[in-house]
Amino acid sequence: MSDISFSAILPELILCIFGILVMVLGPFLGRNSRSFGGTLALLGFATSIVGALLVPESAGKLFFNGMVTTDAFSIFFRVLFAAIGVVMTLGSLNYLHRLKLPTFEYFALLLFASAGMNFMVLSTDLLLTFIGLEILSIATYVLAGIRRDDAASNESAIKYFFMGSFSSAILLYGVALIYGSAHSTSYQAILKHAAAVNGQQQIPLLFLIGFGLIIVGFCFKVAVVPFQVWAPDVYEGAPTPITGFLSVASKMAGFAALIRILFQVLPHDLPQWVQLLVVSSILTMWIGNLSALTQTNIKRMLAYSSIAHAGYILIGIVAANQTGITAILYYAVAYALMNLGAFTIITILSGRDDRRVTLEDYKGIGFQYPQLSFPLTICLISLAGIPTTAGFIGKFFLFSAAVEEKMYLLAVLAVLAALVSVYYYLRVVVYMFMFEPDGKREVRIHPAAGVVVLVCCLLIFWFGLFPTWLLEVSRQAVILFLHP
Amino acid sequence: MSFSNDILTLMLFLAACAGLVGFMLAFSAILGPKKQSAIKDEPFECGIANVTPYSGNFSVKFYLIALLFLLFDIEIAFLFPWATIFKSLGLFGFIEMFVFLAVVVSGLVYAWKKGALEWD
Amino acid sequence: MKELLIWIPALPFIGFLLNGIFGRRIPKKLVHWIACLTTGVSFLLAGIVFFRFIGQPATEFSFQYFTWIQSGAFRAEFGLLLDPLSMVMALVVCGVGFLIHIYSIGYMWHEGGYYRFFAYMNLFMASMLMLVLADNFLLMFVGWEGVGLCSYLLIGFYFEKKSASDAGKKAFIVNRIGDFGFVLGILLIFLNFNALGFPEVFAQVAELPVEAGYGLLTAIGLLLFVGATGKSAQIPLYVWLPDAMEGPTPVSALIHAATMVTAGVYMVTRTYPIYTRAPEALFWVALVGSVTALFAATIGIFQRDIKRVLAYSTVSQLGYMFTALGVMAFSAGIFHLMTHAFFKALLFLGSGSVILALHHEQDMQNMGGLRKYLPVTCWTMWFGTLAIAGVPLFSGFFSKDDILWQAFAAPVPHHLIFYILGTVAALITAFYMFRLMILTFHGRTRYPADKLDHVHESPRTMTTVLSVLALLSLVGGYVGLPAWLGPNVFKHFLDPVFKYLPSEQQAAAAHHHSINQELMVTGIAIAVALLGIIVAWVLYQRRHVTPENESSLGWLHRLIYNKYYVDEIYDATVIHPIQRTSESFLWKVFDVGIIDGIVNGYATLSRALGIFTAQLQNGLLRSYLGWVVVGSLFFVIFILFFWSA
Repeated sequence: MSDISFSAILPELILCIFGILVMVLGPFLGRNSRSFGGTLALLGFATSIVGALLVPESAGKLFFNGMVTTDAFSIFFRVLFAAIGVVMTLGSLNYLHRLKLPTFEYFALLLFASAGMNFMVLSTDLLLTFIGLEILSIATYVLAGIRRDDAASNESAIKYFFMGSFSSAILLYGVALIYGSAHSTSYQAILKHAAAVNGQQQIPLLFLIGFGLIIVGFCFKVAVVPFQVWAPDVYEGAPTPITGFLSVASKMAGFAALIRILFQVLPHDLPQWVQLLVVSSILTMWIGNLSALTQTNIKRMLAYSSIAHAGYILIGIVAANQTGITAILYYAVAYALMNLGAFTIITILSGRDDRRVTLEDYKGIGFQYPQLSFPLTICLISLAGIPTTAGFIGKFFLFSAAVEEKMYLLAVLAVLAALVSVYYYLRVVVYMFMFEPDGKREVRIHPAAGVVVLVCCLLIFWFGLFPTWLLEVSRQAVILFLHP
Repeated sequence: MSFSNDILTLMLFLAACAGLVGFMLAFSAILGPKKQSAIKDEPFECGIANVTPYSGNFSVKFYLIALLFLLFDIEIAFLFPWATIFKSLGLFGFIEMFVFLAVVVSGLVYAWKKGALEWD
Repeated sequence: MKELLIWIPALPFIGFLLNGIFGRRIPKKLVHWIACLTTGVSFLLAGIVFFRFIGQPATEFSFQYFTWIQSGAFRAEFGLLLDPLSMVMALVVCGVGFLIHIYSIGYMWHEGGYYRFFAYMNLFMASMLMLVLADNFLLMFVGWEGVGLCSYLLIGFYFEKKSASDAGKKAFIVNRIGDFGFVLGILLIFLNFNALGFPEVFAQVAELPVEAGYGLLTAIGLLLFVGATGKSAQIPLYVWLPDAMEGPTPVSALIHAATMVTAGVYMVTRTYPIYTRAPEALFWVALVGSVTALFAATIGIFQRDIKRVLAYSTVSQLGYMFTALGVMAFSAGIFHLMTHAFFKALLFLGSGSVILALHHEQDMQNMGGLRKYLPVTCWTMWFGTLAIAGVPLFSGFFSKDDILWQAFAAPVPHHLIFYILGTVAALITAFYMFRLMILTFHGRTRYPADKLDHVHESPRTMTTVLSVLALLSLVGGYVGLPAWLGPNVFKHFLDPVFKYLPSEQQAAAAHHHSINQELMVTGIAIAVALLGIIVAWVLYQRRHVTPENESSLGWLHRLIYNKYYVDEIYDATVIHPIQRTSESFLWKVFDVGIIDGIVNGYATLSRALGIFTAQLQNGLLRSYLGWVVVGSLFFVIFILFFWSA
């Protein structure tokens, strides 16, 4: 029992306790004290950041029977997820109020989802990873459908639920096959087993199929081709802040878990997945960006954009060098900033019924609401990867990781795909600034959301102009994957 | 050899079942009197008009109660393995299980307070 | 000093942020208070730094603030360089900039986009100060691009006017051509010296000998000079500057006369260790400079638009500065840069005052006799005119005389050509400036009589600035007296900058010329100035020639009035052939066939594919699940296949 250490999972404990607290207090407090739930959630996330920073970092030692690690990689993501939680809380306070949504449930689920994501990144056991994934998934299924009186939201939730359960089943089947082959679900044991089978002549059918299915399960979660089909429908129908959460947080959690499995569980001379993911990455970038071109709904457009971004991130994984994995972590932060910034602004502009999200609705708001249109422009040009923004630095390092590994075709195709994306991002800007507005609209900017937008924009430029610190932190966090 | 015998037995059994059913259906179809009419062709259901527009909604309460039951049922199932090794876990296991129960109970409190257990 | 120095560029930037973000909501008065206060304090700080700087023995400080970019072996510091050269530039930029900010209060008060104007102006100040204070090429380039951006934004300030937005685009494109050379030059430096900081690069350059023909340093020098011709409007890239007069007049004064256009001069001076070791590059600098000086001056003769005369005059005066640099008289060039900043800012602001009084009338045909209505504008502009014409005792006299003398006595080949070109240009300068003054302020009034009642002197903020600049135009030259008159304080102050001069040049510089020769050059300069003045006076004051009946000169007038048809020649030789080739070959064959096939095809194909890929998304759960099944099978088979392969 010596390896039970509650300080190793301090942030998760904090998130769970706050989640339960918010959930149980909700019905007791009633509708009059809506903002209390938000405050409590904010406190929870903030404490969780502190907690994550207090976790004693150690790369070698595992806790809870070898299921939990406290390496720098997990701490990086635990801090990031809690910070995303803070941003989400601040950004959706006013939205919940405007649409009269159940505040306490919303924040409780957000806290649980964060806890789930944390378990995904800190786990060194397939079962715990799966449980983390399920905690996240179930919370987000409900969050996607939290607007119960809205057909689109219901459609989104149902589709997400079905697709999600299906892919969870596939993932679990993969876990079962691996267990059948390696007789363990712990990463260390699987690594040993994989090294052993690699020497044999016989094809380790169970092991390989199991691994394929696990990769499929995560590819579904991060929405890369051919498992991206659910994303646009789900993103479009879900409440706008939740769309932001799905496209940023749950995607990053999926990537973090995938990276850990690919780099820590598979031995390095077992590179079948590289070719596979190269193909997947190219298709993801292209299908995402091409489909985004014709969209007129901004949420749907950003859904395709987030698919494309998953493709960019895959480049870092397949390059599998220091530049690549470092860049993924950098990009996770940059992507969180720009996408959450954009979604916060879209939330503010989405109107009373959360339906003012088509390009037509953005006509002429450029000079009507410069305090929103300029930040949105910043987020979009960062997504497009234009220099001086964090998005540019991230893309730059991801693509140069591919070049370092002499994957020139991949890099060229990635740059071309990024080129296509500029068109649809800038189209929003064109609509905002170069068309006459269709009349006045009332937009209220809640100070909390305003702060979020401002901080996101500043940080986009800060990390875009002075990337050194964040790159260094990212490099420290991935060191363990490079020197096994 | 015994393995294939088992299969064979099973196959024979299945074939016998199918044959019996087929025999009964075929025989009654051949021997029975046949007077066809529209009314007779309709499926029979205790004298109630069998095609009516569907109206009454199933109360969602059924589902709620069923779901809650399922949830707590499964949670409680975790108590059984704990109970079997309760002694070797010692005080730590005892406290852990109470924490677990507290979490489950807080779920119950939530459901209760939300009115999920009230029928009206 | 380190802490103070960073605030000099930072303050205007803060002003830009404040006005840029809150400008729309805060009262106009607060807008200009923010703008003027930030630049004013920045100027004050520059003054304090200056006095501390001269109060101690060291002559060069390189302050590193933080590591700006670090990626592998590449490393760029955010560092500022404080030496006499950057000190002079910072003082000029802050001082003139501050005055012009104050002037703009009056000039722009009734214009729309007040906050936008001041935000851009502050951003410009910040970028320009960054440019002159930077201690490495990269940071300098950031400032360089920043001022270019502000220039573009401010030229197109009245963007509803097509000519204004066209002028903005022209400036942008022409400058891009120049910047291309500049970037290549910087790349070449980085590749060869593996550093971008001025001290590091120059220390390495100082080890190299003077190049005999066209070598590495010459290549770098020429590429950098291409950048300078773009930014400082020299032949052949000067064409954007006259068009840039579409911007508001304070912009013309600050950016297109006093500061930004001198960036090229500053850059060449800053990189003197390279140029002094590349005589061929220097030759081109001097040649382009002196030819531009004469060429632009002649165009100025018959222009009717008051601001255009001044614009060509600016091009011509910048040519002087490059001539000075080309004959290695760096401090003379910077000296002229400073005095020019005073008097050209004054002349532009004066013309702005006239234009404002006449409700945006810029044609000198419709001016004349305005002395009575605009007394302060008139006398201050006379100060500027006497200075630029090189009338003794005014600042321009000393600086221009210094350049001509250096060209005459320079230890470089062909220096007499530069001297003669410069002297003729001086003659013409005196002529066109007096023409401008007489046509505007003297003689008969040609402005419609019914509107004359509305003509009145500009507000106090503007006239005060004019007076201060007039005073500076008068006394600004006394810091750089010629050798026969007194000590050249300015040169003495700048001298420590040029510690990396090659030994040959140091020997040549030590060579003394006789006082008599210098007096002769001065005498000739005064004589040509007087000649120009007298001709102008006879023609325009006595014979009442007006711009309209100048055309009796026939083809010569047409040629000069149309600026030697350079824009047309560019049209015919560059733009038109490009268009023609592009239409007949590039457009119809290459473009439609290939580029369109690529660019448009890329777009249409993308869209078509986009529609296709988006249609994969049919919204049906069962087909989505089908996708997942197919995808999973594909994944598993792929992995198995690669295992066995």
